[in-house]
Amino acid sequence: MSVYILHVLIMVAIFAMLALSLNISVGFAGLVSLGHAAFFGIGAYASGIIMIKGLGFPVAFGSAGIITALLGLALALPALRVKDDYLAIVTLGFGIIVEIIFMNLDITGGTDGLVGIPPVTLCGNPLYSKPGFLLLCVVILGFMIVSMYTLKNSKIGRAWAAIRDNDITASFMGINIYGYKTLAIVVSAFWAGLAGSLYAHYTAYINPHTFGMHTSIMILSMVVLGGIGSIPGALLGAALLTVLPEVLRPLADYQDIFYGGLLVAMMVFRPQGIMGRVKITEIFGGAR
Amino acid sequence: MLQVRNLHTYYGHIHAVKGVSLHVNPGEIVALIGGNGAGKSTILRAISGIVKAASGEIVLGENEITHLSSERILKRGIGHVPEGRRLFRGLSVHDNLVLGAYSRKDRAKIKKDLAAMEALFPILGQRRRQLSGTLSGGEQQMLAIARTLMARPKVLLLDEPSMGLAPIMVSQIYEKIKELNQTEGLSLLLVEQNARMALGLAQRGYVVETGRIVMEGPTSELKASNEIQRAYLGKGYREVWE
Repeated sequence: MSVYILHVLIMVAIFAMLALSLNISVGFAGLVSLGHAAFFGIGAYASGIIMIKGLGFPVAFGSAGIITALLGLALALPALRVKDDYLAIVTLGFGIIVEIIFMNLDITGGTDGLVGIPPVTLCGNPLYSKPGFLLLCVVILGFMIVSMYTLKNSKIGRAWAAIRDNDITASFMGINIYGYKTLAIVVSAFWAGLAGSLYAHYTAYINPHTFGMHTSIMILSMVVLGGIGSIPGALLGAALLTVLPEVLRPLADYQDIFYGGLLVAMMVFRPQGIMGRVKITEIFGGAR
Repeated sequence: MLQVRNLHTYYGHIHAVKGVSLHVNPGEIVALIGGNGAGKSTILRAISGIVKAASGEIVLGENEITHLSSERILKRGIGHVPEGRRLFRGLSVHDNLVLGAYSRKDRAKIKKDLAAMEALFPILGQRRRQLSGTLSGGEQQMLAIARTLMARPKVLLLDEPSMGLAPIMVSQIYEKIKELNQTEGLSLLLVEQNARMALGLAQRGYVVETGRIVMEGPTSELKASNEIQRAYLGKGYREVWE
């Protein structure tokens, strides 16, 4: 396999993790987020900085997840006092704030970005080979997919489904709405942080721009295109929206027209996404 | 069983419930009747903790539950079937029932109760996999009641079970409510605008007007009262007084 194809497949795997992680809050619990790339970035920077400081990859990888989850908690506690469109605006603001923080801290390298991030090391050996890295991503992604199905069909998953469908009624059932919504954001952030860690060690260089609103919207588009709440949908959405820009590269500047047109057509003809059951309009604004 | 003493609630500046006291004895069906906006639903919401009581006491058995969260109140044994049914429309009939038992942990018994609900309302068994939003109004009401029963409440608060249903559906639902009360000994507090149905089923009743209880007593007395006949049972002014 050519290096180029391997690179695209690795990006598909990383974005699949991001789409699946966003699918927890948007798909399972119905909490729209327009700032998911911030979690991706927090994981990437945390993992990169920790490894530059000399700690090993397993520590950096695990800490990236935990640090991102804690910042997810810090966002969720105040943000979940509002819902629907207002929550979307709060997460949008969070994404912008985080990007600006990355640009202005010394430890993150400011606008220059973080340079010289060491590669992934397994048992002390640095992993330089692309096929090896792809295998690592696929193993982690596989584990994530299994845990997504387990989560979806658990008691927690049912509580999220109830909150997504009708949060007032969920409280009649004795479900602690605030607690479960917070949990959804925290778990979602945790997985996005892990994806960020993989990304940072793969590219060896990260800068704030990668984790801005454009990426947040991209991840949300993957979830919406694949079908909100659907696990195979999130995977398919991530694959399509990562591969499509590559395929459309010959169109150069016109590719955004094609790309935007595809999304518009999708919303008109199949608003619930390729594999989903829920329309985005039912989550935004809670109209029913 | 359930006692409410001097309950006051507010929606912002609006004083919705102004000092209501009522009680439900074990195994009893009690009706709350009154017009639109009288405060009937608010009384139920305050009991189940969805709306905060500004002052007053709510006591279940021996324990005060006034300031508990709605999750705790449900666990203590008060089930609330909300007005307008409020199903999880995007989830199946089965999932709605399972969610009703959310506050319980005894898996084996939950399974048994699922079967019991499908026996009580056979239509729910036939439509198990169907999205609840696609059921008819009457079926939705049955599901709403069954879903709340899955929490195994000792007292069931029923808000307008007849709302928007065909008369034949209303009688069917009332039959089921009666059955639950007689076979399971379930205590019920029933809010209704359909005063005729409610007074026909309940043993005692309260009449609520603008946040206050203006009349109470056994339903036989209420049904005989001239004011109630005129205001809620549709008798003309002349028929009553002449």
